Amino acid sequence: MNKIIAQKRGIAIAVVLVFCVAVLGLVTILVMNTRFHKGSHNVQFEQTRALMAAKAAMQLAIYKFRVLPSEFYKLHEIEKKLRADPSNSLLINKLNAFVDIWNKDFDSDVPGSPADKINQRMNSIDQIDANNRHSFKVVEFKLVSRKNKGYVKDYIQIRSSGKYGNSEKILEELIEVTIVH
Amino acid sequence: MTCAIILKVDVSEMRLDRSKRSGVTLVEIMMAIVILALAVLPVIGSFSKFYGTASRQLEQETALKISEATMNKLMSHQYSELVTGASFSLPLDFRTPEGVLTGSLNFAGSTGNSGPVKIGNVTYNITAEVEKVFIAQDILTPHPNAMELKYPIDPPPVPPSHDLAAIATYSCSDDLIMIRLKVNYGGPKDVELMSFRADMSR
Repeated sequence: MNKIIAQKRGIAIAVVLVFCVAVLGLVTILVMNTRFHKGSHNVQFEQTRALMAAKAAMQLAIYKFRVLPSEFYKLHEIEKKLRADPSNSLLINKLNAFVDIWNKDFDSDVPGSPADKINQRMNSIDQIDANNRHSFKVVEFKLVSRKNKGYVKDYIQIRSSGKYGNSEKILEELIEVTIVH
Repeated sequence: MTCAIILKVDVSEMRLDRSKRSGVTLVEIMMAIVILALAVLPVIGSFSKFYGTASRQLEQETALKISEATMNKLMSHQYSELVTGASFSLPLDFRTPEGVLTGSLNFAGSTGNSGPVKIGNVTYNITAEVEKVFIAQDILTPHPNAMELKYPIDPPPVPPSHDLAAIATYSCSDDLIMIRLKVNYGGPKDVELMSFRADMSR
């Protein structure tokens, strides 16, 4: 009988220890859950700022097209010539050079460009730290002609990209235009 | 007789043993209570901390949604009113998971303020600022603060020019603005967003 009693000694501590381990497990789950939610908020915040950067690029691109429409149509003229003579390397190089010059204004990484100036202002927000910064550019800016693509109308297709921290957002817009075929 | 004496001794030993056992159990319970207290008190503290963090995150997310929705409104508002610093009121009516925000952003000059707006128990304060980032070019007195857009032109057909494209510059005649938006929700950091807006009235 004494042996049985002796064996029962220490059961309370064991039970308490098991209980403590269970409570610690619960706390760990809570901590992990909170960290996960905290991370998701940061991602949402970064994505919203990236979206704002993409919007800035889009505004800049649409504005440039509105003030210089005929200059942009020169690209279309080159494209038309290129379609008639697809192997013309001079035309291909010329088209690439035109697109490069046209798009540089929208790239915040090009020093001295309007996009760079806008981006510097965007990065002047008080809370922005050195690691998280805005950047944006226009990925695609082209005329989608109904004549060759099967569209009923003609469009300018603009695709802009905005980045903040580790997040990137892409915006796309189709602007209806009228061109002479 | 001898047997009775032996039995008596056994009973007294058993009593002694039982009393010893009771003492040990009490110590065990006290130790258990101490350990439990050590374990449970921080847990209770953690629970309240986690609850606070969770509600703050919810407030931050609501503030982020409000700032994004307000920015969208400002990006589609009449440009001339924003750029001239006119006094106007921008109605705000947003549905958030926490409730409906009803108020207005009242602009006077280049800044706008909503005043305190309540959703549930949280008070939000929205402020907006419009600043000119590019100034319209003046042909008579040119300045360097206008937006300059570069566009390709055909190179002049004069030898020895072999450029594929020459670059011309257009100096814009519009004031172009940045919109800065700040939403205060009583947290450690305000939610701040900024974007560029151009004049699309052409």
